[in-house]
Amino acid sequence: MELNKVDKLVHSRAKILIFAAFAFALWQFSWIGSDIIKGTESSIIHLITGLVILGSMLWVAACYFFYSFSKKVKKANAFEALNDELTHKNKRQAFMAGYFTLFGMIWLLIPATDFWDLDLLLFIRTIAVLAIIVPILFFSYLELKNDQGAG
Amino acid sequence: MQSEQKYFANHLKQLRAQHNYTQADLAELVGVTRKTINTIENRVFIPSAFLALKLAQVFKITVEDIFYIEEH
Repeated sequence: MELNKVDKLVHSRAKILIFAAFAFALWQFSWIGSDIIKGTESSIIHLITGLVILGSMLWVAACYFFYSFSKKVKKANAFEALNDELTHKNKRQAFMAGYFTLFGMIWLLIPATDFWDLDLLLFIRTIAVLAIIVPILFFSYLELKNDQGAG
Repeated sequence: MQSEQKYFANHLKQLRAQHNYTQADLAELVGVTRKTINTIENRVFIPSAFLALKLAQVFKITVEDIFYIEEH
């Protein structure tokens, strides 16, 4: 059965969010990686620098896709439908996933500092990135799951 | 809450068939996505009182004619 316009927008939104999460993760984790090997004679510095640039370009592309998507939503007059109570419930659950990721990782980091000499700034940056991408991916998963098909 | 969802039953599918509405048609009438109607029908999501009233309004019946608690 052909998806109606709102269905298509729901699927588009989830795909754009997954792409944005991937782009952001590539950009940020590559950047963290380049900071880790900065000052060393590592041969992969150019590869990692390339990944940082690629990630940042993909992130710009994701921002454009969001802008384009918002135009489509406005044109279809679908803002209310795309922000209905099921979407609100999914957003709350995604927010909680992000909260527990942040909370859990901070509380793992604290005792870890007793055992290992860690670069705290790098770990905090990693946790911050995960706290952004985990809720985005979880929200997209919730939006796409439990759909038993049109009837 | 998840176990309560199983017992929150409804006649949405039958009502849609009587009125010749697809899930998408019904979703458009009450201002939600087709997936929201789908998850309500399949007892995955419990709608708010407001949405339940809007659904009842579409079918011109009461909320209790649509939703009921299944005996277990």
